[in-house]
Amino acid sequence: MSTQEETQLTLPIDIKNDPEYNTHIKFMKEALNMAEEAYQEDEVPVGCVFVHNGEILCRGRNKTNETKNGTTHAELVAIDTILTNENISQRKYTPDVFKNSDLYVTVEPCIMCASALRQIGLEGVGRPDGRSPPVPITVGGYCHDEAIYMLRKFYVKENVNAPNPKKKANRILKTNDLVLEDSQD
Amino acid sequence: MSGDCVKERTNTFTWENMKVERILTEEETRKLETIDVFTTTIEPKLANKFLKFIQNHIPKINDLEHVKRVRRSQTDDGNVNKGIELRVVLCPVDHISKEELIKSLESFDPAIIQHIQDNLAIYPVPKHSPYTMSQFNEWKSIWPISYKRPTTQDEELTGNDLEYIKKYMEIAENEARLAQESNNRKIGAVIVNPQDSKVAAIKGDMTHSLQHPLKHAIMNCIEAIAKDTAESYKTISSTSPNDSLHHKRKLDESGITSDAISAAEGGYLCQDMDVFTNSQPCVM
Ligand SMILES: [Zn+2]
Repeated sequence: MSTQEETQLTLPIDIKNDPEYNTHIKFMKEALNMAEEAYQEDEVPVGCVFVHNGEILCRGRNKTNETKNGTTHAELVAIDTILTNENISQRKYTPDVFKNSDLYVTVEPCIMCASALRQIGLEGVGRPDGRSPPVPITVGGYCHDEAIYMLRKFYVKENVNAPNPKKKANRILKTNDLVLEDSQD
Repeated sequence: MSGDCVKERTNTFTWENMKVERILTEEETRKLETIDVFTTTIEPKLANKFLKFIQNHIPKINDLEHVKRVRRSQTDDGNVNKGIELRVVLCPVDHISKEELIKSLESFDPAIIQHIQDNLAIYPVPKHSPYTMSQFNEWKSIWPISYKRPTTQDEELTGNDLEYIKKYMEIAENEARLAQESNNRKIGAVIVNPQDSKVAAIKGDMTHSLQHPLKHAIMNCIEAIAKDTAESYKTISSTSPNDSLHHKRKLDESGITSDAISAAEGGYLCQDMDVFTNSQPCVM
């Protein structure tokens, strides 16, 4: 969803008529909650949830500043909560659990995460145009405006953790082009 | 792409059968690309005045500093200018329309506007500044260009570089063997801070031993460095500023002295560090 306009134009289905619309919105809101948590911690606000058999399997949000690890994106963080390094023999799930899981994430996965998602076997959703999807998740548009709002509100504040923080005192959070369900501060 | 991102090397590694080649950068391998520019000819005695004029009256040419403004060539039609033609670059065709261009030249000298118009022609010139000498030699044949040897250009690998590479490639190979002994894929990686040649992390593939398909050698190195860095941040914030940070080196589990503090001081995550690995990294 990083190229928002494009996503809107190429939506594969009429999302309001999707029979699973409410389910998707429910899980996208959970992902947005994770993004909000990242925002509160001054991380780039990206969040996600993996859903397995209709239930949330795990959650993740960006932790690159906290961990000093540029690879701890929301998706990889969520995966690691299931595939923990400690007590491997007592894990509840094997890596195969991801083969039957869906991912809800607030921004289109980057190339690293897209590759990781393929390597853990997340099934791709075919695109209506028949081309193979760049990432395994291709249905976009749910909570579209809320997701944009999340990133915008991050980018108007100063990122103290950036290599060269920029002063952004005069930036304004633009919202008049977004339709937001709840009024958020 | 799924799952097979790293191919097992079939031949066994020995330093003797290994040839180290520097991978050329995009700039170095770039083929000639051109950009179309308006040009015209000018009488040599008017050239200086004309060049000054176009500097003030025609949109500036950005990113074409390598293109020489004037091409001097011999003409063989025996014209009055003793067989010398000066053709001047005016500006890229996508900057301005021909009509606008002619209009902006009108104030130069009404007497020669006709000459300028008659000789107006579109020429291709090299779009990019040449990065290597051979690019320069090839590209200058279509239009004169200048060449500045880039200060950051990598020279051929020297004996010292080869020693440096050999040393850490052997460590990576050894780590790969250890990984394989634990039923992991035979892949190892070393991350080195080239500033002081200190090892920041050595890790092998752990996809089997951790039952985690993403625990690739390089990812494991990055994680280890991050842990050291995060820890040293804590140390830094919990000690008085008078303490010398450089005395807080610690040993990691592989027994290699890792200078986490210098990593923390050294800047942003793994920036500017070198990676040695025995297998081509996957997209992740
Ligand atoms: Zn990512």
